[in-house]
Amino acid sequence: MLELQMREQNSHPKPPLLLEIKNICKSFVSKNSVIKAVDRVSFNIHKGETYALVGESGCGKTTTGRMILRLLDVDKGQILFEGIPISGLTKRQLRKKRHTIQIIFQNPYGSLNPRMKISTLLAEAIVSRAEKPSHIRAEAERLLQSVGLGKENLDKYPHEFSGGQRQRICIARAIATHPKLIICDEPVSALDLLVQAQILCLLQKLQKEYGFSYLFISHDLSVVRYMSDRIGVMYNGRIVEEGTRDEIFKNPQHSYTRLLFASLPTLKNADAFAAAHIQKDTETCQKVLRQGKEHSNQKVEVSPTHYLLADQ
Amino acid sequence: MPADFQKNMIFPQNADKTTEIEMQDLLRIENLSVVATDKKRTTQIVSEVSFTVRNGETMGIIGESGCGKSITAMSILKLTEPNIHIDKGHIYWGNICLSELSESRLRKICGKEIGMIFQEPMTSLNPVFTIKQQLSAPIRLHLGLSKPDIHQRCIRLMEDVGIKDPEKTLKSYPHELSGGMCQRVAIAIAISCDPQLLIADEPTTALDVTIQAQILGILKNLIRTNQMALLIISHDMGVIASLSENITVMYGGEIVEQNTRDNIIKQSSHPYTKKLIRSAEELYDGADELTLVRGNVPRPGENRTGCRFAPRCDLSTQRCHAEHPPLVQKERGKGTVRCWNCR
Repeated sequence: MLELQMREQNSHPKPPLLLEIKNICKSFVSKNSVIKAVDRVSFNIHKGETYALVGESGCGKTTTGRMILRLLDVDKGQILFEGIPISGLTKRQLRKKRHTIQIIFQNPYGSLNPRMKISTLLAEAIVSRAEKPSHIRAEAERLLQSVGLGKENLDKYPHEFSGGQRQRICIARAIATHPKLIICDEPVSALDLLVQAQILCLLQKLQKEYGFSYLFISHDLSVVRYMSDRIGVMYNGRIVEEGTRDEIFKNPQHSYTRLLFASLPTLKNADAFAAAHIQKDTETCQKVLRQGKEHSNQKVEVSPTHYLLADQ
Repeated sequence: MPADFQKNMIFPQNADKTTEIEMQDLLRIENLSVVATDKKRTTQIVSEVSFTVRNGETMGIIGESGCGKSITAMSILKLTEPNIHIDKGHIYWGNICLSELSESRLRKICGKEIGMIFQEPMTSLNPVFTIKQQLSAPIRLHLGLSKPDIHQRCIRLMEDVGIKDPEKTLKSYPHELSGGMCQRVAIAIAISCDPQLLIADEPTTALDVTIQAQILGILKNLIRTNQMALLIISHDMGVIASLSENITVMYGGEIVEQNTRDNIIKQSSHPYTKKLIRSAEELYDGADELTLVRGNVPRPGENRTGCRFAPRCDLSTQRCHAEHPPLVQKERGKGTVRCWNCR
């Protein structure tokens, strides 16, 4: 397996594309207003890569994730998964395809059915792989162990676990179907700092083991820096800047990306932090808001992998 | 000092005495133990917590979820669930013992002299009343102002917390506002009667980083201009560090370390505090490898012998597992720590 990966990396500089997103749009219509949740968003995810979408709540990052899973349909644009347009699939075709994309939700307290034992929860996902019934329990044990939980937990109910342990169960359930892409929708924002570190390390370990790609959705830049290979910064439904992790962190270009960095709390100059940012913050925020409305479709390239949207 | 404060005192004091109190501790918690009871058993949630907040001082409590930090804050104003109550210890507000105060007298202090902000801004506001109704209620109740005065005060408060269009916001309902706006309104309500102490229980946890920075800035400005004392509770070291002068670290229902902010960040002693600081630094500064702390937070009521952190600690000895360490003054420097291995 490792050799194969090595050979792949040697022959192609970049692993093959897994997911291509081309100019997708989604608006939500209510009685008297139309909200553009996602507006002309395009990005690619390669095999084995972690792509992160960063932005504030309401910027459309979760909506993007849901459209990839086809929990929501796109208004315009195309989503290609392994070259096949997802939006064109019929119900039956989609059913066959769906186990290749999995999702880990933000709130582990809400995403596990409280009336199901852990074994049942995992079995549901394993069955989709057409495993023999006799194998299911053994497979569930193996999955639990790979996320760092003992097999004695199989007959427990979700309420018996802490938040971190529940998130581990969610991860076990996500990898049970052998997916190629896992969408992590704020997987650690409901957890404590020390538990966050545990879960992030687990996610990385599993990626090395199974080789799937992550779409990592988060508002927390520090978490994103640890996890991702490439980053897309979203604002008002658009990706305003995209680049590799180092490019975004060392050389942020867009004013909104800079604002995100400025808002990160630090331990070193804690005193200077809040006081200095209150005026600057609101000023930049308004400036950014104005710019956000006037974003053109023009991309300014900083490097081949790094671009930002130009202001008009 | 407001006139009502004197009325509420157990012993009537003369004017000289009042000034003396002002110099003293504002809030003093002594050996607080909180238990939860159900039909079968009683579980200790918080044990022997003591700390003081002086006038104009800021204190931060940090700890993981389930360590009892919120319960400590909630029991100051008796806001805990009915099955959770104070077992031992006292909470003093100046000279008044809050833990023995009757409901009606507590209500006079609650909201007037002590303001509180909760974690979920969307749920801490009442959805069926307008912002103005909710904001003017404490002002009318505690300060008894006339209608035009109340309106003026509302507007001023809204401007204080950085709301751009106060008139319009006052007329709206909570669901029409964003999370950050709701939290601003909640802060405005908490400071509406110029409290001497503001308790903020995870005020920014539910918010985005940019909004979090703004809210922290507002809180910082408010405590400086109004000379309020602040008791802030959070699991985020960055939030605690940016607001508080003194930090209390809690683990498993008890205090493990207490010190000034700079001492905690630069030269913490307890292994748990060190781990917390290290993980925070690694995440903020972007380390390639994260250090892992094995195990989970102890549940309330489990493993009562020995140090609570011993099962997860790298330095634990046999003594750590067998004997429960007391909270002692550090031999070198200021502050207290609860650990056998570092004094």
